[in-house]
Amino acid sequence: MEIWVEFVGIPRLLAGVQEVTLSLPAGASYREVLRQLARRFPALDGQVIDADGAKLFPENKIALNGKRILTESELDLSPQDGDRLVILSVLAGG
Amino acid sequence: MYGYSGKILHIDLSTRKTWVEEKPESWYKLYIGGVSMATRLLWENIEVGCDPLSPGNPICIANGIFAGTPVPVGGKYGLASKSPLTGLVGDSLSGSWFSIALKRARWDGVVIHGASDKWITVFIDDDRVQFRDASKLLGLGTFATEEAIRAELGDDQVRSATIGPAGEKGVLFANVTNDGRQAGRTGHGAVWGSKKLKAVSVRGTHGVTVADPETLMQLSFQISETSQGPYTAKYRILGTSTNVLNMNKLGLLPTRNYQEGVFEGAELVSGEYLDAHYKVKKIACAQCPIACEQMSAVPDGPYKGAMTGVEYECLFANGPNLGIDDLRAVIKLIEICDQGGMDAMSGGVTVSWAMETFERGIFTKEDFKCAKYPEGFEPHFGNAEAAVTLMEMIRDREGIGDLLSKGTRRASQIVDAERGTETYKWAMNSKGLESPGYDARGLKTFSVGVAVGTRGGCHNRSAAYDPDIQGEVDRFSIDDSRGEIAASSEEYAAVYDTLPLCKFIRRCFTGKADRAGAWPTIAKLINATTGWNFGYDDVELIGIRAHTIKKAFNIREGWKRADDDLPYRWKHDPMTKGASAGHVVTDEELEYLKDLYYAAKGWTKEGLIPKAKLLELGMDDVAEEIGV
Repeated sequence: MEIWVEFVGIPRLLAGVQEVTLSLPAGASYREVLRQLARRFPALDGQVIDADGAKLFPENKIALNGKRILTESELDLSPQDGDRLVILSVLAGG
Repeated sequence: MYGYSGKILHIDLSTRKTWVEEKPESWYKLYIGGVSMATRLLWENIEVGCDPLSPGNPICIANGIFAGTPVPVGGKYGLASKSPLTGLVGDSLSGSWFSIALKRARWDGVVIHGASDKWITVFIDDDRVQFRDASKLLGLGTFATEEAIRAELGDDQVRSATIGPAGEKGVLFANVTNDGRQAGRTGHGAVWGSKKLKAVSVRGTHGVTVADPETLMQLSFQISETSQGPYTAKYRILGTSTNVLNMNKLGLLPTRNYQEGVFEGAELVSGEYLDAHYKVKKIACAQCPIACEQMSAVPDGPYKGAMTGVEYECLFANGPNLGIDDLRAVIKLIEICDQGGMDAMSGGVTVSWAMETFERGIFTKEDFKCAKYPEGFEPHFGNAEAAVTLMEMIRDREGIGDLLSKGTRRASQIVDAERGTETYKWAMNSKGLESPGYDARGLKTFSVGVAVGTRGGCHNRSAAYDPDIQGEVDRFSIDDSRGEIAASSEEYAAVYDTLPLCKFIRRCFTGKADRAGAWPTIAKLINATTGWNFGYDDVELIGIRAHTIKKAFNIREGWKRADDDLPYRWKHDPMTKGASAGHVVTDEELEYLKDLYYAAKGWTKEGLIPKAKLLELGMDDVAEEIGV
């Protein structure tokens, strides 16, 4: 299974790239996606991703195909082949 | 009293007289400061039905409870008048040194009545008030006016709230500026201009006395330290402009006058691009450890030398919303607004209305004649030079700029009446105030929040987009929970707007931004400042009363349920691209959401406030006037 991950805002600054493609075993969860990202982009670990718990720190979210933001409990679910995830820092105000 | 002087300064520009009003502690416990106290002062000092641009519309300034103390982000004040843009309450906030100077001058609030027959500034020098000739300041921009006043008085500690040329000329969305920050939205600058008041300057030389300095210092240090961590990183590093790509990904970035929610040039006008190419410095308000404002400058091209602070809302309005993908032009447009003293959101959204009206063939090149282009010009979306010229014409009320200076609601009404058109269908405002950078078609909870907003189309008074964006609810559908969420969100925001504290600090008390995470610490800050004994429920009541006094003002001015509405486009025109394509907020949905919202507030189906509800809040005189 292959998915795309795009970084926006602080996650992009820390990752140093705009987008990455990940290959995952079938049935892998979003938490596995986060673990892979933390390994590949160590600057994200501890700032955006809490790799031990395989979750995002509260300011950061995953947008699934632009439609909606995943809740923490949904991180146990699996992405579909071809899904596009955006890791962003949700911000209010301005 | 600790934290307060107990005194409100009244100034009459017509008679040049001043007087002092002393308020009891019980009054302060109800209205605290900021927008709540400012609106309460407005309630007490205006005649119902008053023309907003007449001498009878008072300027009401209310300081913050924490201004001049160590409490981080507490250097803010509220400003209220009847809005010339909406005809309803106009309440705004601004931060930085002006509020601290006012606190040190020992005034909790200032009410300015009447109108001067000549252009003047008012100089509040501790307990003395001078009326000073402002003829040499006319035409100066907002920042230049502040500097000129400091030079004239020979004191660089004098702080001024000023208007620019737009306020002098009566642009209905002109704002008031102090220390580089704006009390924006709703047209305060036009009210000041109608009184021939160019600036209010303050020199304060006293200390600020609080009840428990040790506790206040301890808490303030803790909050300040936390504010340098991950909870505010997004504000400190990229600022609010980071929202451009967030909104674009979610299909919510207003593009070409809200025709779409996805902008193909979003990367080029993103906070990330701004940071890499144009940011020169981060700026903080006084008393703020966060520093969110990204001061940006144009190094080359036709707008070389333009420089201003860039925030998401002014960026969306003057970038994607105009189809402009060149940040150099966006910085120039925002600079025109900031130095001219105009609301950059209303300015951008009004220009986008004009561009769409042109592209639909209702306006022609002839309509855009001006000194710079005697034959007129063609303001297509994406035409940066046309946008810059139009913004300058609005500031100066030149040519079609005179029409546009009235904002989208009035401008569309005038054009439709004269030409038999329906341009109101793309006039993006609620209650006359131009819409924010969150497209409500893809944010159903926010749709009711923005429709019921007491000052009109505003993202700052209702954060109901937050549960939509955070995924706590399905942002494309409605259910019975949304009225309660919208009401709760509004009251939450009103607590911050009343103290006032900048909302960007909200997660720094305990790590959680919700009431349980914030209210106990806020209560401790209030108690350490005043010596009161506030608890969680008292903090909650601050927001409820603040919102209630604003709503009560509107009811007294003739507000009706039908006024709680959305722009026609959000109800009828679905977007065709991106993640939010295909959605609108139907009239049926909106009316249902309003029912839910009024019920959650404990109001009648018509949105009026029961007398008993007002009495519960201790607002007895308000109950007498508008309670049902």
